[in-house]
Amino acid sequence: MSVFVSVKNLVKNYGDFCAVDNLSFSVEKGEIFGLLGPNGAGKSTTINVITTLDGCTKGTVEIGGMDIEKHRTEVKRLIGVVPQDIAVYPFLSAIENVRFFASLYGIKGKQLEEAAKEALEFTGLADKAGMKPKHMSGGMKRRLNIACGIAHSPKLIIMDEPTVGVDAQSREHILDFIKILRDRGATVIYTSHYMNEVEQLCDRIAIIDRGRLVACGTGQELVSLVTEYKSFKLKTKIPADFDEKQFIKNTVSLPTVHAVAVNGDVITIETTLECSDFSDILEHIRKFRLPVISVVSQIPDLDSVFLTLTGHEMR
Amino acid sequence: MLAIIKKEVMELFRSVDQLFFVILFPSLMVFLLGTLLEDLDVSDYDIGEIKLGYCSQGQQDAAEQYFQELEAKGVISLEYFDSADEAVEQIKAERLTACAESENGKITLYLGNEGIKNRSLTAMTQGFLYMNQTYTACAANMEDPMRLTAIQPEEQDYTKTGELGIERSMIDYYAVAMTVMIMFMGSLSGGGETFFGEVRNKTINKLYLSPLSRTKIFLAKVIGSLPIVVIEIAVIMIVSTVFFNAHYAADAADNLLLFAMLLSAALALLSVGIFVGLLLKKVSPNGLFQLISWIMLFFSGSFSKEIYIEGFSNYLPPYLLQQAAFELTLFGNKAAALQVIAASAVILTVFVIFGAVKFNRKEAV
Repeated sequence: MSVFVSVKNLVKNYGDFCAVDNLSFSVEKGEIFGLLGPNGAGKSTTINVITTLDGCTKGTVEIGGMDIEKHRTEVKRLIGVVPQDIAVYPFLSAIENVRFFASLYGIKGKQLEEAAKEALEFTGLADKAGMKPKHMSGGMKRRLNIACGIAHSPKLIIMDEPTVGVDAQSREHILDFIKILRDRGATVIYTSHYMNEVEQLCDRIAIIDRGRLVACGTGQELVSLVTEYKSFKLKTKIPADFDEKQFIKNTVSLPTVHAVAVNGDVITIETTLECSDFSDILEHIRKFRLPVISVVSQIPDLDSVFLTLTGHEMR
Repeated sequence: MLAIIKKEVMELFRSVDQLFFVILFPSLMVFLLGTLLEDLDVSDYDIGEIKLGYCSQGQQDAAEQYFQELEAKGVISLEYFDSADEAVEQIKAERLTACAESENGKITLYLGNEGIKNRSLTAMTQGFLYMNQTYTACAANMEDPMRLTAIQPEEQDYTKTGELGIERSMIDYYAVAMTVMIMFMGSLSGGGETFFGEVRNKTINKLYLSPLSRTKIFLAKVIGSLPIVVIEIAVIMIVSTVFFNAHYAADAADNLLLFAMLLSAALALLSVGIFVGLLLKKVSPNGLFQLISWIMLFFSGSFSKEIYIEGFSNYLPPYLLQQAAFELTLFGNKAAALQVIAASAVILTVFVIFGAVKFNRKEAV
């Protein structure tokens, strides 16, 4: 894969306030790239600079190999933005909205009509083409917002929290659309506050805080930054003649186990992150004649990574 | 650019609010006040019964014969009194319209409070005096019965018209003033709302994100706002003319010039509205401009056939526009209208340039 978006040493100051501080990252062509950060971390500023809405103080941004300052108009043609706010005209129908936004990119005539219809079909709004946004549900408006952002077939789609305030069904649909867009060859930069969404959707994730890049990588790479282990809790019935010390000693000697703790009828076992097969451990437990009542896996998720990297204090 | 212009027009015809302010509000204003003024005009002709008291100190004279002839023709009803004081008491009790006292070739009219009837009687008496030069006349009103040496008309037309072959009624003056006022208010407010509407819909950033240059977006929005003003002016002119038989200028060429003048002024005001709207961040331009417009219109004053409302200044834009419109419609003078067109072109150019520069520098929302 080749780099499609390259952000190098980006600095954006508002007076004395530094919103983005020497930020660098790159997005591969055809990947879904998650941009995470607490409120005020600099996500929106970074996106505003990438989309050419805002200029930068220092640094460079290249999209499709073109510097956004030098090739502003050409770069704009490559980008489609789905903003967090629903940005549609209430008095125009769904298809008129999509047509209007696509026409801003120079698409005309039959091609425009086809692009508008395709965008509506893609977002499941083909049968609502004549409906005005004011008569649509929240989920439908969100999908129309997406249709307006993608109708001109952009190579880079920037989605800023596109699932805010929608029900689970609509969210599922939207996430599926994004995956299809990626599969069609589009590069997607995606921001959200829903960690599970980002974890499920994004090929790589960048976490930024106070304008700086804190971490960047796949979900597993990010987890490995904060811990090398995952754990599971096993509920059992400890017999009266149970030799706890021997059990711990023997269990820790297993190749994937890092630590063991027994607390009443609950045994907590920490393993390496790579461990995906627990059959050896369970076999070992049975040798000690311990019944397995339930097992709860505790894999560190993006939420805990995010909180570890960006802190717990409110912003 | 065409896409934006087309979208603006589509939005206009879809928005109930906009349609109300562009079509219904001006029509309603013309309809309500036009009907009122039409009634006033009708009342000018509908004089009603004139009961004239008459007293003479000598034998029957030419004046008495004159009033008797008027009574015979059903124009007035005549009642005889021995003294003017007796008749005046009847006038005060509103049982008589007025009293004419004839004494040694001098007629004194004691007038009541009914202006139109007083005016008619005055006209009749003036006619008699013109025919019969041996008589002199004087008038007295009930509040201050001071005898005058000549009859003074009670009211005067405040504006005079040129010889354009049109008998002007109140609605003619009102229609011109109303067209100017609605155009003034609509253009300023419409201009202010041009970009504020995009901010409200949260679509402004999507326009910025498009490959169109900001100057093109700005110009498209300015041009896109024009149909609103054209429709607004046309609606008032058509409704006033068709439904209330209002007259604007005397011929088609002058009417076209009036329309061109109003349109150019509207464009200039639109550009001012857009520029100021771009400077505002928290205040709604519509609310602000409505307030400014009403204040300006209030302090500008106005005039019609019989009413003159003195303004705070004769140099406020609404007054100057009204003046130019009246100069053209009443007298056929084109100079002021052409001056308005020239001044509007300058204002439009300056504010479109300022507006485009400001829009280019405006940060994303």
